[in-house]
Amino acid sequence: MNQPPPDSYALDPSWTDLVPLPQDDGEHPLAQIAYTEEYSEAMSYLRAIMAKNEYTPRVLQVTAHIIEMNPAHYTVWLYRAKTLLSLLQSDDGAAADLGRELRFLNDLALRHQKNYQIWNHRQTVVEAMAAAPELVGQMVREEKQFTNAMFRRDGKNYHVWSYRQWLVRRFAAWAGEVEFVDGLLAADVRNNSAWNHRYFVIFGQQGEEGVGDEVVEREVRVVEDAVFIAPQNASAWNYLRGLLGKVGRPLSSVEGLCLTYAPLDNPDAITSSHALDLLADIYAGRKEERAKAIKALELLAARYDPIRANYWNYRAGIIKAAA
Amino acid sequence: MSAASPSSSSKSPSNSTTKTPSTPSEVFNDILSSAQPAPTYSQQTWNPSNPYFPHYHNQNMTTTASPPEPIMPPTPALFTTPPILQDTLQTLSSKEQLSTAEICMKHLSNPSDPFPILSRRQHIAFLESGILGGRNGKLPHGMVLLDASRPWIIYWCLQGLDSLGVDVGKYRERVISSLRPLQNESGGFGGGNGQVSHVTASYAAVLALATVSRGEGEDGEEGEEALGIVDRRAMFHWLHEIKDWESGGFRVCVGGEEDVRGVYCALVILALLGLPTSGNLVKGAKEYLGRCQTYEGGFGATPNGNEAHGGYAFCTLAGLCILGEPAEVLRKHLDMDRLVSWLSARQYAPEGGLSGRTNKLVDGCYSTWVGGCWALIEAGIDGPQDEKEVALGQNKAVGSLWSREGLARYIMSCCQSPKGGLRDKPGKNSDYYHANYILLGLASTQNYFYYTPSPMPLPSSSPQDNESEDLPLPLTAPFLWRYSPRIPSNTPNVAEAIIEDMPEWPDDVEEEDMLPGQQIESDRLKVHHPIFNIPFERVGEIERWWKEKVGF
Repeated sequence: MNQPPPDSYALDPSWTDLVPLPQDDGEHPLAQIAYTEEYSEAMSYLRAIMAKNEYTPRVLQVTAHIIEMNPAHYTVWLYRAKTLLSLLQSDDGAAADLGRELRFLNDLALRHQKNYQIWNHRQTVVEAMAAAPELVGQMVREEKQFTNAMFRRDGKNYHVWSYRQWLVRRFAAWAGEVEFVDGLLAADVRNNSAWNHRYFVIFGQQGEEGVGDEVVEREVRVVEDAVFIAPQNASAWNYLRGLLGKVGRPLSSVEGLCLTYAPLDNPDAITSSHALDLLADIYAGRKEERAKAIKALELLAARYDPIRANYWNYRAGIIKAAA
Repeated sequence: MSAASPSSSSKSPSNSTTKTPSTPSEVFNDILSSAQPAPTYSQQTWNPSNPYFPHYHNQNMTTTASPPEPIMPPTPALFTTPPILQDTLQTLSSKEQLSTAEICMKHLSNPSDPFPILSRRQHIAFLESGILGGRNGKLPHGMVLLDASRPWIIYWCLQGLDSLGVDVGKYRERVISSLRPLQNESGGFGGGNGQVSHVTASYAAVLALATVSRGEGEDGEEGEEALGIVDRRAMFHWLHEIKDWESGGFRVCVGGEEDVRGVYCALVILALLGLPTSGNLVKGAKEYLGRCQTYEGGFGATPNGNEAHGGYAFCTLAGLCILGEPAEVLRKHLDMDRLVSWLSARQYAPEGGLSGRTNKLVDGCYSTWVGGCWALIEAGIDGPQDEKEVALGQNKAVGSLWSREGLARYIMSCCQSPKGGLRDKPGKNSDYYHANYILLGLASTQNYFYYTPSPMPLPSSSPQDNESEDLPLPLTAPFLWRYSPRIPSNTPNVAEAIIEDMPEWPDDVEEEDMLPGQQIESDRLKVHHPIFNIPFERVGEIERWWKEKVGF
């Protein structure tokens, strides 16, 4: 881990060469924070070191100290990243232990789930590690494992998902991603982030030739299975629409599926407002079946999704105006 | 105007129509009219953010001599019963959803207070504590986590206070002295003194300066514009540094990440400061924003496949609306049908509040990030509106595509912390961020924002539209917005708003001095600008300020 901070920078011989720079908050400042002495001192030594443009191992010590107290301090993170990269290029390369840096980040990420900076910094570190091609495979495996651990705590963490997608695309690490999503959806079929990742993986790795029919059919089956156990799950229906739109298949190709969950001739048996929504679009596209589309929208407005009545009425209005 | 006085009679068109109830407010009306023998009332007298019915008092006033007691209609069943369609399979997401819905229903259906009033005084005290600190004049040391976000704290509190009717101009000198040390010589603002310039810190600093009015100078002339402390030339150069010429986007700082926050914040800074857009600074920005739309219809943080998210939706839509006329720029760059579908799906019942993503929970802050999108979408559908026609209620508009009532109920019943301030949801603590964005959302339920025709063709709508060319300065589109308390309803020719001529909040009036029924008006907030999220009337003032400048 990082070298522990001194009890006092002012009294520590390895820091006494610096003149601490105080912070200027201006006159009668608003929203001024009552810092602890510890934070104020560390910050004033960091400002002093930054003013010298110094990129030495002790920067890692003071930045780790501040990050521990305030992990959202982007300036501190940026200076730390710059220092790491600078040390890698220098004779002091051993001081920039990237593996140690990742362990430092792991510990922080687990404790600060909503932090942006940790993940941006992680990209910088991993990019630097990728300079050694023989280590990339192992590194990507470990990175996936760590993000998996993060997802076990929160399967919808936006920063972690952004990082995972960057990692997968950057290192073409598509293998195993669909299975990984399968696992998340088996645990919670309503995890929309997992569905979004599914879309990212299916269409992200395709080449010029696009996604084959067998993949499309498999994916439709995945949706069929998902809505069978939870017909009112918006994530699965959104994915279906996205999938069909992307490959240019008409919505009417899933009319039967929709009717299973939204039998228009037996409104009491309807179990999915999303199926009704899709049916409205399917029938709106057929001149002779517009009345069915209106009926679906009226059922949504009056009975199955009344909080969105204005929206459903608006859609019905468009169909009526076109007739 | 006092709601208890006969002069408050609605000026809305009175062509009430009899039909089967289909919208929530109509259903609500039906419930009330069946519960109360008389009088009946019609949709146009529904104040979307208040359960009290001034016209009801008025009608009573004509028949009774004593001032009537406010009558609180019961909460409509839509907000007190679980959704009719629920899967039997339970997973983590559905369990969290269920427990949130349950606690919200309890708040929404509170029989003794089905639609609480805004605890204005408590919220003011809460927000004042954010900028003025505690007894020592400082925020507690735990707030060190916001040490790189100080312009944000100042903006949230000032804007929230302005919404609540407090004259924040009194803080002008202190806003200036607090933000000046955050500006860097090389352009832009950091989150604190000595911090690297960051686009969100710069955005928040510009907004904070923009909230405080010019007031009066020493000689009785108009005071100095607080935005005058921004080094516009340096800002302009710094924005070039963070521009990604390849993608069309903006990084958040030199060496930082790139996402739609960067684009939106940079565009707001450019527009509010009246900076030139020559040098290709906005080149590719519209396309960048358009590429952030996902298969769900919402917007991810980047064009790289992130999940659709309410926060990024507002950044994208507002960003596009800075670059052109909503009807043109939104329709050209986005799949509007999918967008409206996704946005509409963010509103949940029974909660009435808005969520940020599919299968995630409602959160008060999306009152702005998602709720604020509706004004932009509706303008995109309606096209430019004539101010006179709007004033007369004669304009053609699509009406509200969402439930203003639902959001107002969620905010009033679930987001007001008993300790003051506003919160994500019941059980959470209030904070300055939520307080501001919830108040802005509440103000959005109370107003109709619309876009007016440009006096001259906007650069983007000229026939020689060439996406790869510079837009000449300035970015004029965001300055053409107007608002009206008269909300066009989905029923043609019927306006939903009732309270016109809202008086300013009587800042120095003690509660005991208030007239009975005055709390009705106290729920009305001061209006903000739908793109900039600063006091509406300041936007014209700021535009005049930079128009008077020659060069930088």
